[in-house]
Amino acid sequence: MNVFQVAVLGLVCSLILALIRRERPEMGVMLSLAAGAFILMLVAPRAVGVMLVFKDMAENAGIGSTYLGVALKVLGIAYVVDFAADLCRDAGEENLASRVELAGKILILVAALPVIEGVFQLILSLLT
Amino acid sequence: MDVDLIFKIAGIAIVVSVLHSVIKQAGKEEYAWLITLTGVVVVLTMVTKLIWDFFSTIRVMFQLP
Repeated sequence: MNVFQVAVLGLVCSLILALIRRERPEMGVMLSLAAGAFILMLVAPRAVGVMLVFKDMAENAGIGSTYLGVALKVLGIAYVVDFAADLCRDAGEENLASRVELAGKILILVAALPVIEGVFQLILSLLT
Repeated sequence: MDVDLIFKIAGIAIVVSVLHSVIKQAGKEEYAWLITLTGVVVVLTMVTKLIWDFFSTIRVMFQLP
């Protein structure tokens, strides 16, 4: 997918949104949601290839796949939460956006717990 | 998945907006509200599928549960 196609799609959607948002704010939210999802879906197939390359590199370097899995999971959670929170903020729901972000932070903490535990165990084994 | 969906949503939004103002001018406030609600529901069904596809893609990409 060409970068210019993505850029033009974003610009055209912004123009349409500028037209719609004043009259029908709820339609504006949904259009910006659809446009955002669509633009990211255009580039998603390429990103999957990048992830596979990262996995190969980690395997060659001898890094456990659990750590890479945790890193990928945290990245994904951050991405989805950011997407949702930005849309909430666009719709004027500042409060809801903060809650979504807080929930995302808690989920990231849960996902990263095995790594924290591993570091803690390492420190303990060094001390004793 | 194609770009038509976005322009379809934009078209529905503009048509609903115009219909809303016309009917409101005609003095039928409750019908205007009904048309807005119908438009929102129609667009919501379209957007829901797109969002589901998008989250599925993200799930595959980052190996989320």
